[in-house]
Amino acid sequence: MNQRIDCEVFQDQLDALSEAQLPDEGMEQLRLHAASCPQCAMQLRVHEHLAARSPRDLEAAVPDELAGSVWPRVRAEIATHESARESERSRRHGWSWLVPALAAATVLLIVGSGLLYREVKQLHERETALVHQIGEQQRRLAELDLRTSMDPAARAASLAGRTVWERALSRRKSVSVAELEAMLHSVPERATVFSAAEMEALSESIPFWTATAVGAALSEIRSDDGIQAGELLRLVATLDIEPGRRIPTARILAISGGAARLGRS
Amino acid sequence: MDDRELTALAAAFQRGDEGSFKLLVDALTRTLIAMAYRYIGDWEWARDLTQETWIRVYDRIRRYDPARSFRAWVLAVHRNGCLSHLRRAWVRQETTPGDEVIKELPIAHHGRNPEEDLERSEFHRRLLVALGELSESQRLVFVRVDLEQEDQKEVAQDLGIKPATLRATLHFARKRLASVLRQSEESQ
Repeated sequence: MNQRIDCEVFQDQLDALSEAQLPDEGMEQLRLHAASCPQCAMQLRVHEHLAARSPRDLEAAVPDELAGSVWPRVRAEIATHESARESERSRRHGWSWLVPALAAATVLLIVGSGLLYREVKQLHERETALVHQIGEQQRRLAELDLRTSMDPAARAASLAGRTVWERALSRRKSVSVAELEAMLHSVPERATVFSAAEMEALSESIPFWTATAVGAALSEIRSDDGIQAGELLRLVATLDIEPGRRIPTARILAISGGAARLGRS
Repeated sequence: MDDRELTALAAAFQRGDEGSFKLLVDALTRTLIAMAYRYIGDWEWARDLTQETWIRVYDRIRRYDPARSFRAWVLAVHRNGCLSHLRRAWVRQETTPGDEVIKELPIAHHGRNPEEDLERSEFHRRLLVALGELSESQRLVFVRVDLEQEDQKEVAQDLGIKPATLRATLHFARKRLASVLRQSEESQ
């Protein structure tokens, strides 16, 4: 005999249905309730729509030519990525040949100086300028290298600028999301706030509800360069976090390494 | 290929065995296309999203911890990619009232009855719009349990929450979705 069920029981039976554990009688009760409750009827419709094909059926239905076309496309895109990375590496290290070349040139200049003192003097001045130029280039390149290095010391140096907001954070026990946003507004938009690894550590250390959102947002960041203040602000804006929600500053500083930099335990 | 073999291949790739990556792609591509199809409802889009996922995996694999399931890790990356794809449509929708942006998503079910197909496509499109009205946590639980049809207990374990919490969140998500869908139906 069919008994009428209420909306709460309907929910439980819908769970059982989605786990394929609902007996026939339960199914009849479900339909009977749905016939008189438009809200639950819509839930049943959504369920039936999504359960029309099982994941296994759908996997079997993937057209062969479509599945077969993925690897050639992925391989081509990886080749493009690798080629771009290789030329970037070459660009960074392209100056290194100049160092021995300049050394050799210097030796030649010194040897020839007895004969052509004036010319040597002029050349020496040019050499000094070049050495200075190369030093400047190498310094800039070293900075670039730091941004992609995972070495902790190098990373700390690349993110040194963030001690400004870390210091501001360390003055409080906790900050609200709104306050954090205001602080981020005071940081240059392109300043690196967290490295990618730190961002992951952060998302793992915070409660599930926020972590899921951060995880989803992180998928947008494909670079290993970390997250910039402007990006973080845009991400926070898209997340479902209450502006009044408070976050312990110790947790943020522990992850960013700011606690150690500022001499706090 | 079982999860242990996949994880071993991923670890081999991390150690420099370039050939392992193709084996991983071959082993999981059908699963990923089918999963994306559940979200988007179109094979071509599902293929493109799968391609993007593999590029992400290639870029990030050195951060993957072989102590965890590789399959679960890839599915999480792919899920984020699918949701990000929809999120872009939802965000753009904020500046474009109505569901015009979601209508850009081609939905095709390739069934036997064209009228039924059209109705299903339209309902799926409205469902995608309504999904944008859920909170992040509700959406994640809903897509994993109802859309991807994962086991509730396994999802709860993976997310590190109690099964009762997951069930309550799922019930809220279903009710909210039903309300939004009914409103959109009434306004038509």
